Order: sequence, then C-alpha cells, then structure tokens
Amino acid sequence: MGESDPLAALTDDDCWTLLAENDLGRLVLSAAGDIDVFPVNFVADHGVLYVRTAPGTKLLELTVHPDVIFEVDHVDDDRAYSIVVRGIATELQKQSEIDEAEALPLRPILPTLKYRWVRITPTSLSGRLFSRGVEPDRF
Amino acid sequence: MNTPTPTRHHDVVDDLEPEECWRLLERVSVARLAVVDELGADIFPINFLVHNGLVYFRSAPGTKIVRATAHPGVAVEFDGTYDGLRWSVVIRGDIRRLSDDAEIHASGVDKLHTFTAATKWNYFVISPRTISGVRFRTSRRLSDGGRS
Repeated sequence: MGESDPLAALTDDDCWTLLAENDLGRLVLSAAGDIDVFPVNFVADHGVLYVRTAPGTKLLELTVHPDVIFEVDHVDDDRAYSIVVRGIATELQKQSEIDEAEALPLRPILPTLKYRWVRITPTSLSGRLFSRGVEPDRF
Repeated sequence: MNTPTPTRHHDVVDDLEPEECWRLLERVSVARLAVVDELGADIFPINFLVHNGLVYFRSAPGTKIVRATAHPGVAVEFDGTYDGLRWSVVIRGDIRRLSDDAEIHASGVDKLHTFTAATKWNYFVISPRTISGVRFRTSRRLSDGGRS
C-alpha cells in the first residue's frame, strides 16, 4: 500500500505458500478508467495461477485487456494477510494445456458447466501481513 | 464493462436484489477496494461501515488510495457465506476523501476498527452508483476457501 504502512511485507515464497492455502480470490479488471472485481476460484501451480471462468463478460475482458490483478486475503484469529498478484491473463487454447489444467485440484462450482481456463502468469507478487492486536471485526 | 451481463453464468448464480445486497453487507466487516490511477489498478482490503447508504472507511497516510481519489471511479467487493451459500456483492461508485469533521464523526468511521494502528487517518466515503450481487448455487468450494 505504501512505504509508511505499518505492515510487514511477505516474501515471494511466503506468498506462494499462502496462495496454495486458498482457492478463492478476486480478479480485478480495468479498462478505460473503469474497474471491476470478481470472485473466482483458482489454483496455484508451478508459479502460475489458473482460474476457471464461464464464457461471458469476464473472459471477454481478459482477452482484450490481459493485464490483471488478482488478490487473495484472509483474516482469522491469528493472522490477516493480503496477497496481490499482477500478471498477464491468457485463455488456454491448446488441448494439451487444457488437459493439464483439468488435472489440477480445482473443482468447478458446478461440475457439469462448461468453463474456460485462464492462466495468470505473474509479473509481480506482493504480500502484506497486517499487524494484529486490532480486531478487524467490528461486530 | 458497464453494460448489463446477459451472458453471465445464470446456471451457476442467482442475481440478488439491491436490498438483499445491502443486508448482506451488514454481515461482513472486510471488503476489497479496487482503484485505478495513472499507474494502473490496485486492490486493498479495507474495514468498512455503511452509513446512510454510503460506504465509509479510513486509511493510514501514505497509501495509494489518496492518489486514487484523482480517479474517483472505484469498485468494492464484499463476499461471505450465508445459509451455507457463498455470495458476492460489488458496489461501483465514486470515492471522495472526507475533510468535514462533522461528517466523519456522524458516520462513525472515526471509531472503525482497522487492520493497522495509526495515529493519523485519512477518511474516505464511497457513493455507490450501482450495487449488484450474486449468490452461488452451491456451497461447494467457494464456501470454505480451501482452508483446513
């Protein structure tokens, strides 16, 4: 967020470890000053992220604007963190690539639905560990 | 992106009415703010509150959020699980930095718990232009975040 934030930065290795613990993230897409956010299931594998997305607007935007930001965050009693991945999104077209992706441990929301695979190749990772002691939950 | 999404995967999700979206927001305290500026987009988790139909939060000084107010169009995503079903709500609107102490105090944002401790705060309000939400029709996967 900024150099003056009282946050601890996570190493890339830490980021990948935490990414592997999660399967829900949010994809940020921006175009022409407009911005949108979607929750997506994902799986991290060998330094890239895979998401499955239904054919439709999300995928359309991805193919027109491949620069994406992907975020995972987590809050529990012990820790709170946020990981932001910047990367390039590409839809998997080759059957061999799709077959490999299908073998990953990511299950679709509904198994019968048709999904497209999108691979996010990170260009940068940043992770922030929030200092605890101030409960984020106001309820 | 502003166009309706008739191709949205209605096999998988149910659209939520705005009133239901607002009710769901009462169930969570953390959201993600997506901003865009001349350097591109970014996203931050925020602690927030809703007051009179506006979304308030505060941020420690020095964050990019301040610069983003030069590009006020933002999106805020909220999600959670209700009745075993995962939901997601997105508010799109304009962000404004608060300078009026009376408005800050009336909203309660100066008492809002946050992730980080700071002695000085910047206060922000987001005026929604649209609110939309979906409920995923299965609890599988999306509900548990995959954590043990």
